[in-house]
Amino acid sequence: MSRGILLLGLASVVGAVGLADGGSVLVTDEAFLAPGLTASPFTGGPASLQENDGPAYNGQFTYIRIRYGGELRDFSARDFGGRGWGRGGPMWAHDYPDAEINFSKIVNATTFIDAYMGPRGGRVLTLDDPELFNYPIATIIEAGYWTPSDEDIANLRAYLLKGGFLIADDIRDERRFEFDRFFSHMRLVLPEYQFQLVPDDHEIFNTFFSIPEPRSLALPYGRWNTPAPIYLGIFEDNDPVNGRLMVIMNGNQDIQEYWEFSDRGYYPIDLSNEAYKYGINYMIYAFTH
Amino acid sequence: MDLLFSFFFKYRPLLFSEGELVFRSSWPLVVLLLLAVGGGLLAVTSYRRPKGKAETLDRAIMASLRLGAFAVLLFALLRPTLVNSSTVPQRNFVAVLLDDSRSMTLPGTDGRPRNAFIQDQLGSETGTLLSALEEKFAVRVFRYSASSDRVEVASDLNYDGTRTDLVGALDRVREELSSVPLSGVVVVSDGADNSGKSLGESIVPLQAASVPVFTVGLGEDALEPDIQVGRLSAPRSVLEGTSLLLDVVISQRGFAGRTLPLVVEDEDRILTESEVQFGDDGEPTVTRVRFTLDDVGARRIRLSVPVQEGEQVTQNNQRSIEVEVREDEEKVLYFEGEPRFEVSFLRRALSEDENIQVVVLQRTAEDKFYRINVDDAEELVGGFPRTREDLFKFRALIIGSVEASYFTHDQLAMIADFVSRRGGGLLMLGGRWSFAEGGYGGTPVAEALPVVLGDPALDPHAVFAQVKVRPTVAGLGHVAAQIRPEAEAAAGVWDSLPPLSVMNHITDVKPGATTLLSGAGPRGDQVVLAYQRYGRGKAAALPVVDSWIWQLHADIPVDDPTHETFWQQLLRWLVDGVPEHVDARTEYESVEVGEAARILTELRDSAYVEVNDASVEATLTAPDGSIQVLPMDWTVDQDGEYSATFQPALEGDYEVSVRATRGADEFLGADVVHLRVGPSQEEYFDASLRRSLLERLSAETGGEYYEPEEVGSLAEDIQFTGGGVTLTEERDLWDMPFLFFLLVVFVGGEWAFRRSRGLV
Repeated sequence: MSRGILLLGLASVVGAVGLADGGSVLVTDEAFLAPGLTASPFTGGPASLQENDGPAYNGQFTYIRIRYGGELRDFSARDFGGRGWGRGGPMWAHDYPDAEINFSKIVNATTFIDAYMGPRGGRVLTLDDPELFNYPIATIIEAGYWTPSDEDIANLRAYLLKGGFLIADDIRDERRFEFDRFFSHMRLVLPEYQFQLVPDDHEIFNTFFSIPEPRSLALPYGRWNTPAPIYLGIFEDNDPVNGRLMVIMNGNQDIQEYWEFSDRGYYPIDLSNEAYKYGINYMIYAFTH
Repeated sequence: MDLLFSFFFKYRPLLFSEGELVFRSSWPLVVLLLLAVGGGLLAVTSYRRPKGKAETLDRAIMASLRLGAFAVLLFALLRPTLVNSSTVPQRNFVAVLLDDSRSMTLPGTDGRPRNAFIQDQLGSETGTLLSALEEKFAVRVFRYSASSDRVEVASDLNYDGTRTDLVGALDRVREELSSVPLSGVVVVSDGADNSGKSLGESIVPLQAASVPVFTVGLGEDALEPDIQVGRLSAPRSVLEGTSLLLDVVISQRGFAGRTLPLVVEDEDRILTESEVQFGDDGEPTVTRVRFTLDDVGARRIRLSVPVQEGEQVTQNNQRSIEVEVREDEEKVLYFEGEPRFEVSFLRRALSEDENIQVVVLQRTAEDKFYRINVDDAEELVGGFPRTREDLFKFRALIIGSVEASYFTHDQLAMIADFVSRRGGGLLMLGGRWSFAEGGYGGTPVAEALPVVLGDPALDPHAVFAQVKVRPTVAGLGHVAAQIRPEAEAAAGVWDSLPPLSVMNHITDVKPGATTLLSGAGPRGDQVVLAYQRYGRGKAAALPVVDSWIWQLHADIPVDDPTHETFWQQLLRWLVDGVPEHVDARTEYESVEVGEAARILTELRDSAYVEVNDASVEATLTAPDGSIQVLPMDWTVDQDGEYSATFQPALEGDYEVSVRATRGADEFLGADVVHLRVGPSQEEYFDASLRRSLLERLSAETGGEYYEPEEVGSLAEDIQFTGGGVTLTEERDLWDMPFLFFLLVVFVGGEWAFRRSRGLV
């Protein structure tokens, strides 16, 4: 059986499990927020929230989502429970937590990665959290809306230079500012580096699945003026041939959107399967490079 | 003491210890018995009745004294006789082995050179010892240093031997005189033997042939004042850029409490320098030096302490080691059974190391592999190697978290063979599928591992723990457990490092294994890094799952070298000394001009099975560029070993290039070694009298050890203790002064006692 067919079957399994549970895990105030949590700026986050959010480091691969910006009011049952477009909520939390829950299931079923399979699929950490440095792979969603503090910049720089790998997803240039904002912030993080095109034949598209035409996977949604997907990266020593990819940016793409809804039938199952291939390839790449 | 004994007992103790006591009375036994009984009764009855003021006790004492006197007389009447076996004069041979090495020119106990004794006692026909020996034996004199030869007289010796091979000399003498009655061997030496051979090898045949060895020790027990740099242990060949960590033992007398520099040089370049503070006189000081070898080729590394005024021996203040620095790229296979960050971070740590090629076989899913750094499209395409030839191409093997059941039994045996037969380095990492948790218990791989595998945890995640890693005493001085290029810099770093995680609770290492790093965690102490020699290779265990924490952790600075240094050191150590198919070496690191230099080569085929039917030749390139080709022959003693001997004619470096072929065109391999030809200082090390060695040699063969001033009795001692053609001699003992003395004591004692009691 080819990997694609296997994945197809597994994606169906994910869907079946999700439906059998009455849908994915719904996060409620009670479940997510610690009692007595008051409204406060969300830079760094309340310690009690972080403690309750995911397991302590346990040697397993744990999906890490970077939390940034936003007010606490953004966290509400409606925001997290809401589905689909225009559901609001903090930008970092888009597709959370279904994307990682589903992705972790696929990772465990498809590969030998010892992936954490908790109720939220992973952990949510801020850039100023020392815990981040226990997880060499991190993802940032809607990175065009990310406004880092000086401490965030310093920490992310250290993280990447020490061997961390950052995946930036759901960053679209249809409004002509998301790319620029992310680039400018990353320029603060790694001023000596620059974003470069990740070639279609790059190793990252062949580590587990073969993705011969990476830019062929369409954005799951979009406007008439959304540019075509593009994969940009920051390479160690600015060397796209031999340099390790430190950051990959899924430009004009929203891979996690596919993952989030892969058990609900919003998108064609073969497209969801394709999206999983990117994620697994990224993981294997980071584990080996 | 001997004189006193001889005065009372007529003869030297040696005759009593070697002889047998018998009674040769000509009187019939019945008469003697009657005499004994009658005399005894008389002695007792004479004091039976009270006499004068004597009490019962007094009478008992007097009766006993009289009995004693009577017993002495009876003993003399029995005619005690000492029966000895003695060599027949001039019918037996004695071999005299004279140390002809340079150390014999060093000062002896009387301030004169040690060889002065030889000149005095054995140097001419009038020499006291030689005359005494020749009076009783046919004497054969041999000289020995690196080799041994027959000499006519001791004055033929020139004391310039650069090496002392006592074992070889004893063998030579025993074999040469095996057809004649040999009464004994006399060894005159300071006891130095730097041949590296075991003395036991010579003792057993001598015991079997009943040839006693009589040793005469020359020289002082300790040289003072003197400083000596001890023998160094270093790998013969290392990769370019390798850091060597040497424990240098410096012994001294006369410089207690002084601080002196220890300099490490590569030719004329100083590699490092450190201060050494001496302890008490005679107490060795161990100092650790670390240096990096960056220059490729045959390097001569010299460690020296400056010569101080008044030193007895100045040549032993420095030691040299010969190290071949290679610029090869060594292939290491890292087989990881599950995708995890050890792979990426290990590769990153080794990315700057041009001498280590880490080939990664990453299992990503069931029967799905991702290969990195392979040489060609075919390499490892089927997963883990299935033949020894494929596996043995690598010099080291790292097994990550991959369960034992992945391998066939033959593959598990191959991995063990990789270490024991091929001589490779094996490292097993921790993980949910490693060690006992991976089902390795009872497999050939477990045999090779240095740790004891206990019962596996049912769920390795449940035994997940973080341990604080610290070096053991052995680890502090071991090159494989270093986290800083400079040894001093590492001292405070260990405490600051974040803990690492374990999923395999391993607490015990096998006998013979060494723990280099240990970890303190919630379940107590645990092994973090241990190794053992296994056959020709070495096997190590590193049961942690995330050494990469030492790179990424929030408390670790971006430019911190801990993780890189740790892995570079560990892997370089793992591949160092791993033999190739053709492994050439010279018997000694350096020889002198004209001294026999032996080249040895071990030869194995692609599966590392010894080859005895190859055609092997050594091409020697002399310092002047001239080339000589020597055929090498199978030694027969050992499978796969070939040797050739030549005598270098020039001082300098000889390049020895060994090439092996089989049949018409099967090339088996090649190797290059270097031989340094020049003056040797070996004789000046451990140059004090090795009394214990000489005493052992004589004691175990039935001979005696003598100080120079005691050799007067040597010839006679051999006569009574030696082997060869012997006759039996009997010596009367009835007239021993000691018996007369006893008689006087008993009779006089009785008289004095009687007088004290008013009976006289």
